[in-house]
Amino acid sequence: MPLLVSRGARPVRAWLALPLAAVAVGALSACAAPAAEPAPGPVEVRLMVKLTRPSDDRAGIAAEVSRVAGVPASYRSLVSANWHALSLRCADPSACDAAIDRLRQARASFEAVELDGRKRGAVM
Amino acid sequence: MRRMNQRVAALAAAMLLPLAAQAPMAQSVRPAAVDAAPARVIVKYRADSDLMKKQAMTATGRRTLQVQALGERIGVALASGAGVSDRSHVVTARGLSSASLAARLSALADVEYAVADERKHIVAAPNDPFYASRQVDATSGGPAVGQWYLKPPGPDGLATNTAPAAINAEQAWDLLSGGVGSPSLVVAVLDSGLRFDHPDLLANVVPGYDMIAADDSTGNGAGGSDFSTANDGNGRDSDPSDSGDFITAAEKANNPNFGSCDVSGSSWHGTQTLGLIGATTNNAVGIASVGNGVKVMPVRVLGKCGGYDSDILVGMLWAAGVYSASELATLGLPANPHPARVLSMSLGSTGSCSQPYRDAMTRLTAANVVVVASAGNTAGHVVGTPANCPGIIAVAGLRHVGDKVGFSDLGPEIAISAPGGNCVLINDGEPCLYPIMTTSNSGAQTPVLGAAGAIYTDSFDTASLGTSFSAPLVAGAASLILSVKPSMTPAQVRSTLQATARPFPTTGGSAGIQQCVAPTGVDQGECYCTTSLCGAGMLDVRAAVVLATGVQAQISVATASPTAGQPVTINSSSVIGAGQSATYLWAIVSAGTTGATISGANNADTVTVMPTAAGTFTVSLTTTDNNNYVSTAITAVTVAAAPVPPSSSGDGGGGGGALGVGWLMLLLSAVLALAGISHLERRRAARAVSGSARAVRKR
Repeated sequence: MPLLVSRGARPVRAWLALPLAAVAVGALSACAAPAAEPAPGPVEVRLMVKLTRPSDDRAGIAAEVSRVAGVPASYRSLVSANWHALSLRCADPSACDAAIDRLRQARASFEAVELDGRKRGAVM
Repeated sequence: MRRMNQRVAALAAAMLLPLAAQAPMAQSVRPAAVDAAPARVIVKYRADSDLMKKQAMTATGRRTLQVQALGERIGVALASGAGVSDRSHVVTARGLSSASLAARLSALADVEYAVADERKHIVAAPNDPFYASRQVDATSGGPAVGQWYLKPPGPDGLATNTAPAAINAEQAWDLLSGGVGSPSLVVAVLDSGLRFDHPDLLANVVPGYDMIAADDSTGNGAGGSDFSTANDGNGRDSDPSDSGDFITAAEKANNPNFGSCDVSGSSWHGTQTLGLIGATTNNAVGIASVGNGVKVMPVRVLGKCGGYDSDILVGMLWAAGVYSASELATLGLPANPHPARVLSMSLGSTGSCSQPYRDAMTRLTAANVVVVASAGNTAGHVVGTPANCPGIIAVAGLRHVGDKVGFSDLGPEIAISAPGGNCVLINDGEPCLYPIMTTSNSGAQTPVLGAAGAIYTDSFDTASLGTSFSAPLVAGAASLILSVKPSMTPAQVRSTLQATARPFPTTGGSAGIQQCVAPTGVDQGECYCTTSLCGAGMLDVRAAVVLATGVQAQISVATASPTAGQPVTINSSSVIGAGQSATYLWAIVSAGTTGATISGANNADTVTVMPTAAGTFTVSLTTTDNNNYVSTAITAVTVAAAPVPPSSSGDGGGGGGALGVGWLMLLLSAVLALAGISHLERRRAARAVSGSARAVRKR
């Protein structure tokens, strides 16, 4: 299922004090363009990958993610021994969706792939 | 605070002396699990003990000889302490608990009894001025009910400042060692950082960390040039100060990171949530906090328009101290010198629990770390994430009367509910009646520095409402549970909170509201909670601490006016939590001039004491619960003289007519005892003689 369709179809409500602010909650803020906006341009999406074999070779991890995803990837941060945060740069949101799908199918390299989404304070 | 504790200790010592009034004293508090202080026991020798014949120049010298003899018999080095009566005094030792020492001494033939000499504390509300109430002006101040959410629960009433959903924290503090949460217990607050210049927060804060990396970070959270989320000009560092999370119209329009957020001022969210757990309590300043002395650690993971999962996860794992040395080295982070036992996370988003959070929770649970998170504020929709992650204690929000507050989410993932603040139906300009009052900053965007910027949220523009405030109350409760029982696992903390939660009300909400239903995709405002959707019930901190600690011995004197020669009925009013049971042991600590003895069984929940003369006697109750937790309470009872009957002759001349009933009973008791008549028979005979004496005098 295309990531953006799936996420965008969720019933979203304000998490924070911001009544309608959560429409693009999470990682979509970088990847998905609001429907009312002009045609999407190049976008960056943040994600986290769990390696099947722990590694701290940042350049190697970014290269492998880029190779599998088919789009440029940059290493952002280690999260734990297995989890690493990276960014993908895509021509448009649908290209990022496809790139993430490819990563999720590469189970030999990546045990799991998740968006590096945003969280907000739970205050009204 | 330390001076106050010393005063409390002095008062507790004084309370061991016979009092002029009949006043049950506060229950014992110190759990054996955290008993690092020397064991301290009151021992009383049998009247016929050889130890009573020890000769010395002084009473102190005699006690030293007695204690040496006791120590040799139980194989423990003992020290003698202050005297309590001619046959009882304090004994101390190291390396074992008071309960254990008392048990070993009690087994000796020379010892009439030995009971733990425990501290008592003043039972009182904290002196923080806004705790009780806060003045409400036309456009500022309040809430008039003060910190209603920390108080004992009570009927819904502004006049009494009570509310059914209040979490009963005040009564829990009385059960803690020293009356405060453990200062070695750390709660990490993963939020927007902290305004360190708030004077009500400094005492309990331990160093935290700023985990917000550059938005364009290119490795390990360091480097990069875009710090728009962090808003402090740099990436991860050791300064978790909150520099503000405001969003301007220009930022929203031009910064792709902020497109999903509304234009807003700074929330000072972390200062607000941390204050609920860590504001200095009983300092005569501002507010009290549920943690009441536990340490709080600000871990900055939220900046402008929230924070990224990757920064939050790093904050969780670092705060708990579970990172390996190699992970820390790769991340470029220092080891956390104050690992937290509790994480409080008033943050989230919609969506399911993602795998990195599941993996993090596996590590945190294995490290015995309790994680608490807010359900979310999407008005009755499904619980957000990470609150919906396995192992996290998800908290929904309640109105003051105990029904679900309109904004709170709900669902089967919720473990428990706690107040989230509510305003009641008000007109424009009127104050919000039941917000959660906490610490904040007055800056609209950037912080107002120094004490000048330190404010408390109120009933107007800064009213604090949200499940953001429900979660810290539960996190604070968890910290108190771990204060009294640090060995508890996260699962045990959760079950303790749930087992002691109070039932949700089914009445008292706004007119016409219904029972809550499972989320259907449409908004669901105020509704009556069920245990399948709002967790086990309403948070009750005192009940949770009682269950974690053990049965607390308490005494109440049932006889209204104890009188010489009349039996005095004394009951146990011990605090027994859900699933707890207790055995009882009563003893006369000091008979004073009353000649008081226990009449009948001394191992039931009620005891009868027979004083033979006026004065004050002191009685102790030792409870042992089903987990072998021992607690002792001591109460002094004042006995009035028996009323002098009218003289039958009228002249009052010397002779048998001047003898009181008590004397007659005492005399008869002694005679019968010598004759070897059983205790029961003595009582029957005494009653018969007493009746005869009264009959004689009437004539």
